[in-house]
Order: sequence, then C-alpha cells, then structure tokens
Amino acid sequence: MKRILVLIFLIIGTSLVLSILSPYFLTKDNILVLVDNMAMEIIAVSGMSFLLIAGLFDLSVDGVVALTGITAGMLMIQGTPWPLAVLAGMLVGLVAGIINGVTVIHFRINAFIATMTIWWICAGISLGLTKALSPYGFPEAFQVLGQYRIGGLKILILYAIPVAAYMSFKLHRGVIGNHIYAMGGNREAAYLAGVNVTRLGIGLYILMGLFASFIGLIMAARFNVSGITVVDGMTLKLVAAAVIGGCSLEGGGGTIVGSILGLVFMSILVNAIVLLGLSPFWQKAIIGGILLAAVLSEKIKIKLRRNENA
Amino acid sequence: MRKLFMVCLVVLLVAVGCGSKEATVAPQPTTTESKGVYYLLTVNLHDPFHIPGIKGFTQAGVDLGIKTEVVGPTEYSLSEQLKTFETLIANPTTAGIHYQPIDLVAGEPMIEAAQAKGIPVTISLSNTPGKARSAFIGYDNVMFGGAAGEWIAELTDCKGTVGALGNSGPTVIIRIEAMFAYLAERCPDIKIVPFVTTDANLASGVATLEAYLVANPDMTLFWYADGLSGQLAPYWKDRQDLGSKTMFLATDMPPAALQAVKDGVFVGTVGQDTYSVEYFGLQLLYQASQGMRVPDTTLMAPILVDKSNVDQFIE
Repeated sequence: MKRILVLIFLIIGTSLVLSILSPYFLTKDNILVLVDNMAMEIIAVSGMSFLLIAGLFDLSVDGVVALTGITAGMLMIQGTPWPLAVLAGMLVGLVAGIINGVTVIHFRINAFIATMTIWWICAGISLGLTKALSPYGFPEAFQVLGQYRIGGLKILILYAIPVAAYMSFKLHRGVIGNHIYAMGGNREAAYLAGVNVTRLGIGLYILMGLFASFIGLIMAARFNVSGITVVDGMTLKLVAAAVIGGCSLEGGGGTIVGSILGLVFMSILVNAIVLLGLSPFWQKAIIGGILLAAVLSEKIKIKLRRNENA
Repeated sequence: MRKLFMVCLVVLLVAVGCGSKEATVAPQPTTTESKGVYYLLTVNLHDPFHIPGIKGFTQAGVDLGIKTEVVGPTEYSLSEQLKTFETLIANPTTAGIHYQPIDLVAGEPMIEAAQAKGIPVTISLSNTPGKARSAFIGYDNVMFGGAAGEWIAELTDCKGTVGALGNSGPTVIIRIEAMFAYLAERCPDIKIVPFVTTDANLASGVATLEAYLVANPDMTLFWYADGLSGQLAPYWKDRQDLGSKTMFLATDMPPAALQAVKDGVFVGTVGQDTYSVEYFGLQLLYQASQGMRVPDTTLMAPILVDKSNVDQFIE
C-alpha cells in the first residue's frame, strides 16, 4: 500500500512539474497519446504481475505477440476470414502458454531459460514465415478491433480497464489470489497447504500466453501491420514496471494497481523526455536509475523487517 | 532539379587518400580463383533491408560465372558474425569475403587475418577506419543526411518546422545531425526542433512520434530516419484521414514504404540501393581477387523516391 501511495504521489508531483515545464503535457491530446499507448501494456503487466507474485516470470511475451500477429496477418492476407485468423492467433498464445507452463512448472526448468527459448522459437518462426517482410493491409472489419474510437479515445483502453480491474479483483478478493501469493511466498508450503501449484502455475502461463496473443492481434489491428519488431523489448519494460510498482522478483509480493502505476510512471517519464526535448540518450539511464532505486528500496524494506522481527 | 541524387548507380569515387588502390592480396591464377567460393558475410540474414542486397550479390555471381554463398548471423550478433568470419578464413575454398561489419573496429583484426591468408575482403554498409580491407562500397551517413536535408529544403520551401526521429544507433544519429546541419545553413528561417529517439520497435515508434507531434503541433515535415518507418505507413494513413497535414519523409524502400509513397501517405523516402551496393561489391571483390586495382572507397548516392519515380522501384 505504501508503494502505491508513493507512486501516486510521484505521478501527481511529476505531472504537476511537467505541466509547468511543458504546455502540452496536460493537454487532451497528450493524455490520449499516453492512454492509447499504455493500454496493451496494462493488460500485459497485469498478466506479468500474476506471474511475478507467484514467483515466476515470462520472457517470451514479445515473441508470442509477434508470432500471433504474423500468423493471423498472413492468414488474413491469404483470404482466411478474419475471425478464423483471430482464433488461429489465439491458439499461438495458448500453445506457447502451455509449453511455458509445462517446462517451467512440471519439468522445473529455470523460467529464464524456458521462456527465453520460447521467445526465440516464436521469433524464429515469425522470421521464417515472413522472410522478414511484415504482412500488412488487413480487412477493415479486423482493423476496427484496434482503431475504433469513442469520443476521440481509441477502443484500446476499453479492453484494458476491465481486464486489469478483474485481475486485481481476483488477486485480492478471490481464493486464486491467495493461492498466487502463497505460491510466490513459499511454493513448498503452498503445496503442503493444499494449493495445486502445478495447475496454478501452468494456468498462469497460459493466461499470459493468451494475453500476449490478444495484444498481438490488437496491435496488428491498430497498426494494420504485424511483424517481429512490433513490440520488441516490451517484456523487460513490463518486468521493470511491475518491480517499480512493488512486485518482488522473489515472489509473494505486489499488486496489479502498483504495477500499472509503475507503468504509468515510466510512460510519463518517456513522454516527458520527448515533450521537453531532452536528450534522448539519457532516457534509458533515467528509467534504469528508477528501477535500481525501486529494487534497492524493496531489499532495504525486507532487511529492516527482518531486523525488526529478530 | 531536385530529383537530384536520383537513381543511384552514379557513384562518387572518393579516394580518401586517392583514387584506387592495389589489392593487398597476392594475385592467384584465375583458374584457381574461379573454383573458390565468394562469400557475402551479412550483418543479419533476417533483416528485410538486406534482402535486395543478397539478391544483388547472388546475381553478380551468376553474371561473373563464379560461385557465391551468403552467410551471417540471424540477428545482430557481433560475436556470431565474427565466429562465422573466422570459419570463412579457415576454409581453404574461400576465394573472397564481402563483409558487412556490425562493428567497425571489432572486424578489423579479422580483415587483417584474412588478408594475411591471401583472401581479399571488401566491405559495405560501414567503412572501417583501419582501411585494412581491399575496398569499401556503400553510403556515407553524412552525405545521406545531407541529401535528405536538401530534399527537405525543397519540399518545405525552407519554411515551417522540421523535426526528425529514429532509433538511437549511431548511423541514424549521424544522418539526422547532417540533415539538420544542412538545413541550418541553407534555410535559416526554418525552425528545427530537437530530434527524438525511439526503441527499434513499432509500438515505441508510434508512441514517440505521437508525443513528438503533440509537443510540435505545427510540424511541417519530419524525417523518420530509420528503416522502421515503412511499418508506420498504415498508421500514418489513419492519422492523415483524421486531418494531419504534416509531411512524413521515410527511410529505405521496403514494399510498405514504397506503396505509401505511391498512395501519397509518405511524401517520399530516402532510399539505399542495397541491391546495387552488393552487386558491385562482388565485382570489386572479384577484381581484387584477380589482383586488379580497385577503388579504395566507392560511395553511392542516396535515392530520393517520390510519387514521380516510385513505380520503377515498386517494379
């Protein structure tokens, strides 16, 4: 809760300063830019938070997003009706999620290696299918999924809000939320307490895979193009946002709201660098510095708590 | 007049040092040479930017009647590229290597090692400062940016606001700075806004571009100075449909970018003729392997593609 309050304070404070420094920051146009471009990341960070809280993570997201968009895109270009292409795309996420879940949870292969392998495989298949030439020019009915506007606002955020709200609700008000926290806190203890950690873990990977596929499809609809570089690098941003928002890399801690606030804070900073015309070369250093501060503060907090208990 | 730098094969011979240079490898009998394999060592086999180059290299091999092969990493991996380079040097059938360096400095010892074994090495894309190679053919980024600047001056009539964005690679930054330098000198009345960089992915490109346009709502023209720009064509069309009047100048010539130029979505694209670069690259390599004199540095002129000439490139 403390982390959430700190982030809210930081976001409000940063926004106030930025609104003074740039007349464009608090304009409707810029807020729409921020919201539109964060929407899919909100869905992804919700799934990633579930995994992190359960003591897991998934590096394959970018690859699954790309392969989904490419699979659906190529099918549509070849004349497959778009609803079928969408189903085929979702199948990519389902399969990737199952493979990730089984390898990490059932075979206990390190999540870093297992999910990175899936990312490679997805990226490789994407390149092999497209010969690196991105498919584009999809049916208009499909494009509506990513481009429809309601009062100037793209439909994207209307996907994100219910997903994030539902995920947050389940995490804090549902049995499954307790199980996720328990699994992340101590997997063996959770198992002994009756949590089916295998089913839960595989289920979380499948959920992340389906989210990644959904994002791949919506991105393809939004940009009317799909390719290997659509969201390349998003996975690490998701992990960073979740950690800034209070998710522990060791599992057992974090919230969806915190992760989304972490994402909002990161997005505001990147946006500010552009609006203020600051040197873009420092962007990654700034984000990295904030991430380091977040990780260190988490560690210090844990240490202090241990000292108090001792 | 500004259809200028046009269709490129006209090439500036810059002999940084001068003119031509004798191949640094010992000539060998033609019969032996023609039995060997001439390799194109690419930066990334999967980058669509290089696909025409691979075709050009292969076609040159057919035209010369020599055996060619294309090798290289499937992503931008310096270590993988250098490993492949070592393998080629060790291969007794290697007759020559046409090399696209990922890193200008790191490849230099490999070039020297190849030359020491009598294998000529020509390079494209990025010139190496050490000049151990037999010859360089490709683009100069300052010249590339200058050409873009000259075209932008014409498109904007030296009025309005001009910006630029692209990934943070040194190639892109050098181009943008050269473009701005040209405009600052040629068009003192033009307003130049600081460039911004993006991650090399579409989502980041769009988010950055949108924020850039919010901060500069009166932008007359911006140059998206890397090859990702083609992927933004459908997005930019959507924005145009919503009333945007800002001109989008793209970079490179993937099919999506050329179609966008044809449809009037992009005002144009500043292209690189990778087909010709690698076609003539193999010619140079072959000549070097025969002990013939080859130009030290061959610079290609950027291609400015607009509605008037886009059809020939689509074909």
